[in-house]
Amino acid sequence: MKFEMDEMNCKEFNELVDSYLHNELLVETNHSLLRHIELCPGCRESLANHREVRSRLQSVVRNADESRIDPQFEIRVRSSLRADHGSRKVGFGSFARGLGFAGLVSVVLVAIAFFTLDTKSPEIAHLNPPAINASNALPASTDSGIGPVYANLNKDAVDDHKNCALTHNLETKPITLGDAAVRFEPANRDIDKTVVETLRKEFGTKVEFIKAHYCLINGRAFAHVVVRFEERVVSFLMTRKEQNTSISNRRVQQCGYDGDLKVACFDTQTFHLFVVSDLEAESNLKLAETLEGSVREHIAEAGARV
Amino acid sequence: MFGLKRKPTNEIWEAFEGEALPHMPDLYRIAYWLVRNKEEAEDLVQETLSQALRSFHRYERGTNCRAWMTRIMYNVNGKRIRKLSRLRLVEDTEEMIAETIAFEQPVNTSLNDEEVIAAVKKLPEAFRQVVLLADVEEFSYREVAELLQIPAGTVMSRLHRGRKLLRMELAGFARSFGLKNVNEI
Repeated sequence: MKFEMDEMNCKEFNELVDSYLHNELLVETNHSLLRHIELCPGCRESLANHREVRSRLQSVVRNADESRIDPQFEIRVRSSLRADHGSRKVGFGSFARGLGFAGLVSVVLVAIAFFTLDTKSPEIAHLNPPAINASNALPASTDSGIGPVYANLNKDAVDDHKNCALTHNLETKPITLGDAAVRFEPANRDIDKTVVETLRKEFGTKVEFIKAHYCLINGRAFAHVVVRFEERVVSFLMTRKEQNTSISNRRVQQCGYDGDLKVACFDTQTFHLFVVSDLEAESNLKLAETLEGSVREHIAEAGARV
Repeated sequence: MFGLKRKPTNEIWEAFEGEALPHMPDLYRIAYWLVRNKEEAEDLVQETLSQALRSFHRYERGTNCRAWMTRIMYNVNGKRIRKLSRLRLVEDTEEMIAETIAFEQPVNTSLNDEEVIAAVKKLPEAFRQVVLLADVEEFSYREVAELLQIPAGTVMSRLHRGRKLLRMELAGFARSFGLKNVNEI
């Protein structure tokens, strides 16, 4: 298709159309191309088609499941980088070498004060945290016969409750649920509202919101909602199922305990969910049962919106 | 020992966390399409970020951090790239492509995601890399040339041919499902 123009013909247009879309042409060449498509309907249509193909390619490749980062991996890498960076930059040896004795004493005092404050969050310091079993492992006999996969999940949930709700001892800074929704799982968005509103509907002002975020423990990421209920700290935890997991879509059940801490759990097709507290086992289970329906709906709606 | 080692809050880490780490999903996607394997892509991303953090004091704030880290990633992956025998692939494929056609077939854009991904995968490695870096990741031609360590002219040539191949693949999918406008518009 030869076109009667000095500046550009259809063959030249075809050579340049992608560079035009990529904004890589000189201004003069851009003008020539634009003048050409004003007069050539075929190339105008071709430009629209190129633009649409490019847009579709971007959208499909950027959203392809196979090239999407595993959120657990992302958080592990952050944690590892931070730990590595910390050990290189502020290791004790380099500090000691670089400071005189008085300076060192100051650092020790400040560090002790910092650590003490940090482990007693003002939000929960006045409560009566349960005695925590020295062993992190849940007793095998309380595993309800659900096997090692669930035992590990329970342990992670309990560890998160201990290190994030009862004390603040995480190595990785948590991120907001909103960020986690954008970057990892849409279901993270407003899961705190769902949890708190559901519990308040059932238990009224006995439920007090403390905090909510997306945090990492033992390499596993949880959406974590912490509330106070009957003067006890209660964690609601939600974590994505690993691929190829054989655990089915469980209803609420008692999943184990660690010292005074009780774990109730249930599953959806894609998530494991836990309620952890030092309430009586029946009360802890009741909280999980209260949450089950609305949390399932929340996850289903988030899935439908994707 | 004192909490300091576990919770560094120095300026470099804060800046790295704010500027570099948000690009990790993009880096992973680029790495995945580079090595086409989850475990290798994760290794590549981790090594890239580790090197980027060590060199972050050299990063010029306000410049394109994503491009800077992608350059590091391509350097890290340099040995692997050299093993891909890209030149041979390019020569073979270039012979398959008609030189210049006056008017290209429109592509039906209602293809499903799997068909688009399949078409991308069918592209020869050298073409796929430039098409993904330029058209999906939106790096400039100059940046693509730096990443792949090839002349800008070669980038443009591969892009032109890569895009043409991709359109041919997409048109092929459309034809195989009897979509009428592939040949008729």
